[in-house]
Amino acid sequence: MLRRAFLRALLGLGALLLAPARRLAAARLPRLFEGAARARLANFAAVIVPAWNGQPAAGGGDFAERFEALARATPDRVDAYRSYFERFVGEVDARVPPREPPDEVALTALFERWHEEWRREAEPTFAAQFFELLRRDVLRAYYGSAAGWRALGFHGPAHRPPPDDV
Amino acid sequence: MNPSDSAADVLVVGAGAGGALAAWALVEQGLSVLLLETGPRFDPARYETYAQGFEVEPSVFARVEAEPARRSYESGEGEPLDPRFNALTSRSATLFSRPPLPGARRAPFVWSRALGVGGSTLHYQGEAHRFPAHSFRMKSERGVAADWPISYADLAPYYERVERLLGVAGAPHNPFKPPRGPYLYGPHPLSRASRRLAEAAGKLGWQALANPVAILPRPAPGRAPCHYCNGCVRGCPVGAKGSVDVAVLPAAERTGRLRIETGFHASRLEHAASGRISGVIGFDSAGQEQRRRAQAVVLAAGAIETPRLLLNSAGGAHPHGVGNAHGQVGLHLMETLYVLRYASFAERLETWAGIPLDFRIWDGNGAAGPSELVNGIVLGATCSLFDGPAGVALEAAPGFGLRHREQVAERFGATLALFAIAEQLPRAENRVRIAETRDRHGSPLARVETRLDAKDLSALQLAWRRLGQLAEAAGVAAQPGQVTAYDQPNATHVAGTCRMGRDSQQSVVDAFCAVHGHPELVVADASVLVTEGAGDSPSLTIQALALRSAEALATRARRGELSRVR
Repeated sequence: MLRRAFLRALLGLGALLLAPARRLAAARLPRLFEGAARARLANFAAVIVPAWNGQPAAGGGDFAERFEALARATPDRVDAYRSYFERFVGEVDARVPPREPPDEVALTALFERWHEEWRREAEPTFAAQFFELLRRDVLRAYYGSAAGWRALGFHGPAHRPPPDDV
Repeated sequence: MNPSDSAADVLVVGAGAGGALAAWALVEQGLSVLLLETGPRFDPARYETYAQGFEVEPSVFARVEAEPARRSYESGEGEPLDPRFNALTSRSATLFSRPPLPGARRAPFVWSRALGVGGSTLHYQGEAHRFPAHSFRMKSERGVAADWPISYADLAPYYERVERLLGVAGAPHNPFKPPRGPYLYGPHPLSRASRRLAEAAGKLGWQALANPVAILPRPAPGRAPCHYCNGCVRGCPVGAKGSVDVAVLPAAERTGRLRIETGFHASRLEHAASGRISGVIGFDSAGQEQRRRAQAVVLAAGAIETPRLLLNSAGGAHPHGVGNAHGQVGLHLMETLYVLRYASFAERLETWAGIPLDFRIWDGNGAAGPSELVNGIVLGATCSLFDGPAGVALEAAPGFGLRHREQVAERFGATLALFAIAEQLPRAENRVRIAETRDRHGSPLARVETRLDAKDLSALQLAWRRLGQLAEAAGVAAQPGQVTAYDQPNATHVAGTCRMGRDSQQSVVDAFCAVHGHPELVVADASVLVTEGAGDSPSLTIQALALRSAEALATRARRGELSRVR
């Protein structure tokens, strides 16, 4: 139910996905996140997505692609996306220098601090909404995947054993 | 228009809980029936109960409901939230979980339904409740709402027949219900998590009783027994659950007297100059306007669509809509007053396995009623939000990185939602009316206007407190979130919009659910309920009423009281 409410709150983004004229406009846009920017996005995702046992999770690479797709699908908000991305990555880089693999402890602390800051804002900012949308997308992709189930010790959805006495 | 006679004695609009039972009863009585259903017919073998990603992708039912062309109602504006009740605010591990800002309003109304042959029984969890006897006499016994024109005793034989038809498993002894005989099957065993909660209820002096469910513990013809996968809401792939598409309609079809037309969108009733109902006008799956005629019509489209159909049928002898001479159609909408409080235990309890709603706590719903509340309240638990890791990751595990994944690992299989449903009393101002917005066929949408009053908020508060007590007694380690009707009206049970009564100025249908003055027009869905049964699930009552009303209709037909309209 809450998930449904959340999606309703994001209709402003989703509705734009359906606008053909805007899709045409989006098709003319250059790619927003390539090269170093794309790598940084993947780092960002690697912390939101559980990097189980130190390995980048499945879905981490797709995350950058989804981020790109979302931005391109809402061209009238591209500036906001770009601005958010630049702020986000800029601040991440300033506080937690990029490295391979990402410094998960430092990045986690940073994200949690921002999370708290956003929670105190009077209205959800676009950045906060965008961050939450992507966080949910990444978690759904990972925990709904075979990798997510395996990480919890299951072969998949059909493997959940019933209790002995039920 | 491309008129065509249906060649059926009776048209039934809607193939859900009530429509299917009505169709079954009519064909059993020798009448021919054309069952019109706007949604598709699903193949249970193709339900995605075990598919990878089952918990993150919408179910097949949700995908149909989400199709823009299916939009049939809009929500009135939510009322401002009363900050005195902010403890009830919905919250979870998401970024936006925070107290409401001043001036925040209740979210738009959402009707949680399934469209298709089977209706909401496709995604229901099999609960098969008889309403308590006092529910039928709320005005006489408690001074609120209204009395039904029938009593529990009138309905009891029909309850029993429906229970046997669906294959209900349960324990006969329930001190909060009238005495009854044994069920067809004994109760299912409680899941491990439910046993833990039952112990906790005992510490509080409450009784966690086996929930009667239309779920087979043993094989039956064409249906396998339950394998406790907990996936009822996504459709039962083996037919253990008594959804009417597998438990009722196949037998009716085997008589050769039932035809089901899917993809038919009923938009209004056809009536003669005299006002008599002669058929249904709607659109077939190709979008062509069609007319289907019969000597009688049974409306079973649910408590929002049925009043919409009646109101959209205004014209001629029915200037304000069919059955609406006294302005009663659409009034007295009752939504679902629910509270879900997430609960994570310190150890894994295999919450993914079992009957989803295998117990209920009815304490306080006896003859005297709960001391704090004149209406009813029931408690239970469900893990349907948390039966895969994604639900836990999204809703019940805050944070990022290591902390987050540790919490997911700890809480998967250890998290469920304690829930309570309180009874909303009927009020005329909560209603369904006709919107200015129209659907793709040009029919006005329904507009759902529902607000919570002080009694509703008190009931939610009491429900919230009781769940807190239950969580504490059960030793719940964390309560990572909650969802409530306070700010998120998400109604699985809606009722009351064409209510039964003896007085045509205060009701829409009579004691046999025929629209006052129209023996040829019967309503067989939750619209006719006068009260909500103290928080019990309404499907069995809808079905018992549908059976009773359809048999009465068949009797009228046999007596020649319904002249054939051609």
